[in-house]
Amino acid sequence: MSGLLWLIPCLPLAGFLVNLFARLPKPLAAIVGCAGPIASFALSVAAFAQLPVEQQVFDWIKVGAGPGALSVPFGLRVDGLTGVMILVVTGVGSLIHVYSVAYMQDDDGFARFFAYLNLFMFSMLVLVMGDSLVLMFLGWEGVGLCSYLLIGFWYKELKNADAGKKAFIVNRVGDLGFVLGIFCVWQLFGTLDFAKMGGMPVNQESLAFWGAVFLFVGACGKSAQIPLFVWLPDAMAGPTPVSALIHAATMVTAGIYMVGRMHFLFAASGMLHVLGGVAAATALLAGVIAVAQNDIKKVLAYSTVSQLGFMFAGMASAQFTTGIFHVVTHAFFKALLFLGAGAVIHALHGEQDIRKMGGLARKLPGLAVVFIAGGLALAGMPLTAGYVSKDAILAATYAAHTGPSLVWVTLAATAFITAFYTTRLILVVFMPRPGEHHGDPHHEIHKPGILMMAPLAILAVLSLAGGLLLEKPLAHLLGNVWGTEARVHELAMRLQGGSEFDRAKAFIALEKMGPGVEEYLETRHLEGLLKQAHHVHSLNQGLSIVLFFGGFLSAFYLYGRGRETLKGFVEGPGRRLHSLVENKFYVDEIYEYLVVAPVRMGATVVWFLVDRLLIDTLLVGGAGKIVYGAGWVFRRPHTGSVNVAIGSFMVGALAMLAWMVFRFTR
Amino acid sequence: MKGLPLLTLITFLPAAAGLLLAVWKTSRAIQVALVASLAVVVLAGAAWVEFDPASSEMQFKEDHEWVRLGVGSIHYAVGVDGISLAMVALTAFLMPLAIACSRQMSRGFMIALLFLESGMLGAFIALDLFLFYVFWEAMLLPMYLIVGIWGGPQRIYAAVKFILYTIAGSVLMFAAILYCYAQAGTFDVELLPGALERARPALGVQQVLFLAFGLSFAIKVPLFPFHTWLPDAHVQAPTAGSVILAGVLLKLGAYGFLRVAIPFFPQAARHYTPLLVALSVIGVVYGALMAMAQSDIKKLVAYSSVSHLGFVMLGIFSGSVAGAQGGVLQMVNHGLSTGALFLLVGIIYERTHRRGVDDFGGMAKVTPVYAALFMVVTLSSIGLPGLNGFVGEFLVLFGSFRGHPWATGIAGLGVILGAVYMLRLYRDVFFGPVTMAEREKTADVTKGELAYLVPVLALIVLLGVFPNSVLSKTERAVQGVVRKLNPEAPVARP
Repeated sequence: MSGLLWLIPCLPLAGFLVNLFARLPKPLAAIVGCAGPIASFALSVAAFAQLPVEQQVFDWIKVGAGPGALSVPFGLRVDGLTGVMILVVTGVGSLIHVYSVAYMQDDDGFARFFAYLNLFMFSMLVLVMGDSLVLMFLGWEGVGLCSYLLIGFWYKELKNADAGKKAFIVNRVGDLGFVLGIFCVWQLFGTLDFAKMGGMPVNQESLAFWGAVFLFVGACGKSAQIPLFVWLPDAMAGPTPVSALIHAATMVTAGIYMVGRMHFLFAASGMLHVLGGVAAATALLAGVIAVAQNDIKKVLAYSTVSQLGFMFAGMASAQFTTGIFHVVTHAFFKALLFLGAGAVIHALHGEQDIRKMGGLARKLPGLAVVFIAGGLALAGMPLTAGYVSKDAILAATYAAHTGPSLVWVTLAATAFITAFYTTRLILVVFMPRPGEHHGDPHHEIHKPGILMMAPLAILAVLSLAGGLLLEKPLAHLLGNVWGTEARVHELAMRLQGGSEFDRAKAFIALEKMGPGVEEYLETRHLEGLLKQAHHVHSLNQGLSIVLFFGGFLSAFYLYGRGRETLKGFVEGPGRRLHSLVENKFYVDEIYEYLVVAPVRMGATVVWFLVDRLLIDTLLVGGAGKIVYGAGWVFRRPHTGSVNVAIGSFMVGALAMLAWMVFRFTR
Repeated sequence: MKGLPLLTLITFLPAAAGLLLAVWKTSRAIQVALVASLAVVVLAGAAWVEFDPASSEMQFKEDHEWVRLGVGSIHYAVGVDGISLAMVALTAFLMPLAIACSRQMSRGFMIALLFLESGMLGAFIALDLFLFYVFWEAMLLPMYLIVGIWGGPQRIYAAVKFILYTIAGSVLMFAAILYCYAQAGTFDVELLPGALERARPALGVQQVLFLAFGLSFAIKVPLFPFHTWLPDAHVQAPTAGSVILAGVLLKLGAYGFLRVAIPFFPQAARHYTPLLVALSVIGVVYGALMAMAQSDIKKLVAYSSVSHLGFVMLGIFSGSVAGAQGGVLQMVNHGLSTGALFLLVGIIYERTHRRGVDDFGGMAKVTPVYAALFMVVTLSSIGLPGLNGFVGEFLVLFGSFRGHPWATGIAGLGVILGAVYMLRLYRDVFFGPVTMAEREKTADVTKGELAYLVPVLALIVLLGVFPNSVLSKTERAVQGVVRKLNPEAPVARP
């Protein structure tokens, strides 16, 4: 297997090249486009069976030799964490590719679309399989490029092209952070290979801190956290499968993956607290904005930003498994929701405004069922995948802060809001409104075919059952990545002393680590404390259930049966508040006035003042004027003939030469 | 192979073809020029393959006494190390493209181009300081003519500005060369560093000499604030002129620092490192900002060159092997990417006689192949990993981070701004609806144009994937230069 590892990213790359150059007819283009990801999925499963595997493909960048040399091979490595990621990327990716065949069938750019999607798969797989930070960065920028190309896929509308450009440039800000982070890591460890730096001590605290800060800036860009989240909602300008694949299920989780990969750095540097704060604030802010959106894709986009905040909060709790777990479940249900939304938009001939929908459950019952399944998972209905993973994050955050903390309260509030806006979305889109007769307001409804429904059905099953099914195996698999033994030991040490709560907190961590822990505890006669840990956990579980039903019921009360209870408030006393939220707290406008416009204007002003006026006219021109003036004086005795000019130049040069020879060769 | 004066052949073959064209009034001047330049490619390719990367000696050396002086003599001495080899290869590679894109140009133009090629190649291989100066000056004239005769409406202004700027530098350089000779009694580039060290000129004198050479090279690079000749020259030059100007001529400035200024005056170079790093970084950001403010595509690309060359200089003066390797690689990369950009701009200009950012819109629909090629070059220019530009930029920043963390961070802003102006350019030209009816019928790239575009694009991709093919050749030579600046010469010490 290890000799074939390179095929996992490169099969989609081959698909990209074929579809870019070959100009195949649509059916063939579709087959080529889907074959790569599906084959990669099969290979990923095979690789997953033999963890860990690695392969050095060729030398990419090499400077110097021996110790201290910079050597970046194109090396791929699959451990538990990467294994999970490639299964999600190729699995969910394949489903989305199949769905896209139907979704994009009437588009002129059909082959181009699949070429870009395949290029994305290649980049994303390099991102998660790369064995060094530089290779990860190759994938990191690669997915950014594909995101840019696919957001602006319908480039004839400048709005789309602008959204793509915005995504690229905002991400570039993050990427600069990433690169500076790479440099700090090099200073710290003298290597960029994950496996080599993993075991090293982190001894320069300030360097570690800055390294973690810079890397986190990179993560904020790609994974749309405050202050760099502004590009993601605009990214919905791309075709809906793109939103599902890139801007929900895979690419945007790259930041969480990176934090997981570099967990030792983040844990050692004290950055986890910052991370938790930013994550919780992002989750809440985006959740609030989602409540006031009326574009079906915008609701889901802000929801994604919010859920990414949850994932980061999981990472910030130092129980990294919880964050990755939410990456996986979110990939299922958010891909499902976006694809479902795509089917809705497709059915309504491009309509995206939820206020013009309603009653779709009757017209598209199958679609309604799967969409509601995804929605319930997002809202956190007990036992669904979203519930299990979100609850794990809440519990971990609770434990990490030794009880209720601001981060925890914020996340809990966000969980409530999530249930609220998700329920609102489902009610408004699918439930009938009173007084609306079911004759068609639009044209005929466009029913999704089997190619669209099959991926949705698979994702629906995963969204409902995936959480319970995967929790234990994931904990086991990922525990190895974070270094179970070291952690168990450290936590067991803490169990010996400290407050009761400290111990309970340690236990929650232990519990998540999977098999082996209980035996370990039994040998130390500590099993009694395990109960306390369970107690803390069930407290959070109870809370999660309350939050879900709270959000669900209040949305139902306000929006159920076509009610528009809030209409009076929104149009009356709450008008200002509503438009503040609806316009995303004017963050875009603030950036425009504070950053974009000053730079743009400044460039022009500096060009005129410094380049034209100061350097060109005053300095260069001034020097010229002086020469001219001197020339005017010296011109008097000259005839102006070229011969004379050259002659005097020669004399002058010779005089200089003579003087220097005389002066310096004594 | 061994007995062949390979470098002399490479250097004088174009001039010979130029002479031939001067006397032979043929209508097929372009074919003759193309054959000659392709022959140079073959010869340079042979040199590339034969070159031994493990040796730190000059290779393919030829040495003949030329003018005997009282003490020592002027030699016709040539040879290459990894750095000059890379530059020779770049020059040889770009020249056929520049010729191929000049189908409508006259015989005289071809002659100028061929002489220009000989001048540039000679400057890169010269191992005698006087010979270096001769070639340095020899290439000025053809370039002056190319801009001044075959250029745009304001060609005279641009050509005169170009020549005055350059001569202002070369006068100082010439004086410094003579002084060096007077001190060391030789023009030999390999012997001079040691001889100058033994002569122990006072630090102040070293500094003056370094500045004399340095100013001349800085104008060529061009380093901020000596760059204002560049936008004018670029805008007025015909396509081939811009390609060579950006692709090769600017590299001569950076090459001068590597070959002369740093090895000859290491102490002074160390003394002025902070100044040069500062000017480089200012150039990176300033060039990018200026590029943002432009509406003429050629001017935009010209200012982007100021920004990119800032990276090159930052790498060279980073004091680390990784940084300097990145700088040298970036010299090659910039030659390819910017050369390709000018070729592409030339194509659209030939069709529409417009090159304003606002003169187009929605061209992706009208000319899809052209748009795709332009996209690849754009991405190369903004340093996308997987293409050539990334590795150079990354190594430069990587190498300079330890010694100059702030400079690295600020130069990093150039990477962001690079995306801003290039993507704006791409958006305005290619995306959106087709804004002007007369653009609807613009023809996409022809087979002939593809013939000279595809090789550049292929190299852009190849060097992104296999940068080691260049890095391994230049490593020894770069190490030698970096040791002068920083005796420890770390790759990039953690």
